[in-house]
Amino acid sequence: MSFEPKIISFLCNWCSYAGADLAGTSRVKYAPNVRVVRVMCSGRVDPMFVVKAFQSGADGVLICGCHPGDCHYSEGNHKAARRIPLLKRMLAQLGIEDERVRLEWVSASEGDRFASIVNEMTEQIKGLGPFSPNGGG
Amino acid sequence: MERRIGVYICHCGTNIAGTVDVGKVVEFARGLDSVAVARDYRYMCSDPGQNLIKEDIRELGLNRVVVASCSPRMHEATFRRACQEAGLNQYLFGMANIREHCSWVHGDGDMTTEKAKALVSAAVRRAYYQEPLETKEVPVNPNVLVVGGGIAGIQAALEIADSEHQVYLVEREPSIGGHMAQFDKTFPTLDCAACILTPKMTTVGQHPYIKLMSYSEVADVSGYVGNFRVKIKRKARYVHEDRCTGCGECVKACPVEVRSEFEEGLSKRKAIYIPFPQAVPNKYVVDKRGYPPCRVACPAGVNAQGYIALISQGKFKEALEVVRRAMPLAAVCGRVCTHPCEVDCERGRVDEPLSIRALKRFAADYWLRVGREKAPPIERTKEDKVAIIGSGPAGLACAYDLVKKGYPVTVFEALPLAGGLLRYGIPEYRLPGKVLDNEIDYIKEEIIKVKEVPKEGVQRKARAAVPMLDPGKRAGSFAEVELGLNEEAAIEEAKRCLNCAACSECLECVKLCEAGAIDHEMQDEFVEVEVGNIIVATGFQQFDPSVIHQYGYGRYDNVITGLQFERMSNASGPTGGKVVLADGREPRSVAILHCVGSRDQNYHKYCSRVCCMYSLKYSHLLREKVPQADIYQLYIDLRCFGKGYEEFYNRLQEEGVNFVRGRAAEVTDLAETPDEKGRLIVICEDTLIGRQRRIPVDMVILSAALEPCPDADQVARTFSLSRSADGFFLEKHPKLDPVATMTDGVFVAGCCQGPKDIPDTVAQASAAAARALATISKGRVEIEAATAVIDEKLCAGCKICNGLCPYNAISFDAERGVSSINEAMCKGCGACVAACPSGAIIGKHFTTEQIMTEIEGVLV
Repeated sequence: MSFEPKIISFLCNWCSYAGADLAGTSRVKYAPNVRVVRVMCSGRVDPMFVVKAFQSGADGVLICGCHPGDCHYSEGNHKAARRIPLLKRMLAQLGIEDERVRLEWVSASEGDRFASIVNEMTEQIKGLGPFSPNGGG
Repeated sequence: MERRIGVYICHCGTNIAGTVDVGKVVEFARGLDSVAVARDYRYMCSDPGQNLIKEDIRELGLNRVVVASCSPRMHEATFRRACQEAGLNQYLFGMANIREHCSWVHGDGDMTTEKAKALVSAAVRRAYYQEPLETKEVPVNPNVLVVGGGIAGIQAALEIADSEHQVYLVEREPSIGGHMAQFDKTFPTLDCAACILTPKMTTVGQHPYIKLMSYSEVADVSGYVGNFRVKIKRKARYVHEDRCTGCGECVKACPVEVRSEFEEGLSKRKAIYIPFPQAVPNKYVVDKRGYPPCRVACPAGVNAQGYIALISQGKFKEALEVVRRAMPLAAVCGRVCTHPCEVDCERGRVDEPLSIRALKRFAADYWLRVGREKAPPIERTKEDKVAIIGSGPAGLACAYDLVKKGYPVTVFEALPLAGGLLRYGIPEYRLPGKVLDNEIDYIKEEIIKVKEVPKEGVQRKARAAVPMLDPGKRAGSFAEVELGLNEEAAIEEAKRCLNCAACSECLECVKLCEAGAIDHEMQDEFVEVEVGNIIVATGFQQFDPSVIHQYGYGRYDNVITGLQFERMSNASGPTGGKVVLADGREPRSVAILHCVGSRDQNYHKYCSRVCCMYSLKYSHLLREKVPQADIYQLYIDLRCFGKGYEEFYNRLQEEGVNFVRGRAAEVTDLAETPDEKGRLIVICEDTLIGRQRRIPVDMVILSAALEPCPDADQVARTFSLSRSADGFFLEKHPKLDPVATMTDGVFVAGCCQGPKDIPDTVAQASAAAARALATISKGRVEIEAATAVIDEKLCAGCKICNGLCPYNAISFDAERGVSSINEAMCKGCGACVAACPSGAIIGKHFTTEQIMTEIEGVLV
């Protein structure tokens, strides 16, 4: 059987979760590999959530927030924009591929964009193979 | 306590059940830890569906409930309420989104069902850790802020004010009225727009419960539903509203003419103006756009635009006054200055910069020529005497400025005559000594006590060339070489000025205003108000058709926009209601082009909804005003969907309008036949006869799209609104909650939410007002209990969280060495929770424990 990756997506309630809802109401089809965890703001995404996701068997983590400047809480997404790259630097030292963690801005009107990000990421991770906690794909 | 979780899987008809095997999901749910019951139902949100939950809570003693159905943004509130009604705290309810995030976006197959199971497992595990929370109710401030004074804002403000609640109506422009005030007639009833709008405007202006703040903008909004604090920037009007009587004397004095926005550029207005005669408030405003480049470039800070504007009006003495406000040596600088002002002159980008230096010289020389008056002495109000050593240009200017401030000044000069390098460094043929003498005399007599001996002192047009002394006459004399402009030449040259800064600050209006209302020194002010609800009604802007080059807007005079036609057709407009071509003739034929910028992949994909109808209205108005004219409507589809609209369309057909089905391809003046000569030719494909057509006309009206205001993104940020893909503000739900937004207490109305006609706008505005009034009449609102709290036992007092909070809700208690969160100010974003290095902050309802277990659950 071909490898079907599991991707956890943390979506902020105001923009990205609504964007994913719009993909639904518009019946845009995308890969079923993504599973959504709702948070109020991308700034709530503790780097430990990402680590926990990999520990629990995820093959990739997608974090989506409002576009810079559009944050419902003024600047929570800016915090994500600082934390996630730092986390990625640490993950790289552990040998975890860069493509496994993505931070994207998806607005409430970008259902198509959410779908295409998910599809793209699913393909990339299929290429990488399952996540192995010992580093490497 | 033992967890007893009830799980309910919704079929949503076939919306979920069509792709998800609901039976398998139920079976799976039954096997999950702590699940007491798992059921499925066709529509969980229906009454019987909700009753299932309520009965189970009561009979099976459920203490956690999970519904797997649609998005929580759709029905979380519904199910929370159901739980609460059965005695279960609403925060013990959880939701799995297996419709928008699963059944609708994935195909039929095992993976879709597997995903649904994972989402249910995540929600069930999360529910295990959910805790009851108490929601708080806060009182609602009964005041309402309405942003935008178009018909939507006016309607909303009146609805609320009539219920005797205070409204703050903020309008960016000097007058309320918005686009509707520009219209002539309104479709389909052909009511005169002004006749139905101006009474409402007047009511707003006089209403005891409406505080109108025109020429103002909302700078900042803080707080939350029921309790917003709003900072409003009251832009300097330069006219005191309380003193201005609206008499209009100032307009006579103003030398500056700029494009009239209200008349869509069909006529000009002065820099001091009211936008239109029925403006509310009927108070003048001075249009200042900062300093013009010429003035900025001048090292002496001389207001070049000011004296140029006055010269253009033949007010030469007043022009010199303007120069002398900044420095005393007008005639000198008019001759020998290196004129950096001319280098920066905006007109230079069009053809050539103005001859600014020559104009200054002209004003100074004119004053000499007509016989100069003695300067009025200035009173010495200050005691301290000032000595100035040296009477060169620096010494003289310095003395001049000090004396104007009231200081007694004495200038000392070592050489026999005052003037310094002006006199001894610049040759006579460039700066004649008598010119300098005159200026120094003026300074002396008017202003300064000088110790005499021994020591003291757009149509492109070439710029005006300064006449020069004939070279033959120059030899053998030191006569001045440049001769200066004459009156006519000076006026002509001054009229080339582009008035970059609008108001030229010549201050002539101040002299004429008997009420003393004009104050050019006025500053922007900020006021703060407290309101409980906000209605955003900021409207639209008309699409600029000049970007569609092939239609020739901006190139051909007789290609105009819909709004320009509205003004032209309006009896109070620039042509007095006559439909005329640029040269004043009546058009023999007119083409109206639909969908300009709308329904066009290159510009706006959406339909602007009003263009079909207003285009039909133009046909009718043209029929009335130019009965002989041929009228062509070039349309893609005619959308006449409202009450009385289809009937209006039928009526137009009987009035003899040519309907051509096809989008116009081009408007050109390249004639191919004698009949086309000197006219505009509309080229299109008539899709009903399947043929290319060339239609010669005299006038083309472009029915331009409605688009979001250019600063809609800024407004969206100020009020925490989202925007849909077309750029308009996003409502909470397109069908069931069309005036609410994602931010509680903020509502939208009118075209800022999407293009719509006046009846829809008014209905929406009333709806927004009703929503605001609902919370006001209840008097209190529930606020989210999902805030953050700090566990003081764990807090190390590092203060990292203090700076992270966008609402300044976290403060540090220095005595106890811990931080604490003001729950009323916290909005529950969780930024601090994620940042706390000791894990001391708990984000209620989104605790780390809950999310971590959700992550585990979703990966089963």
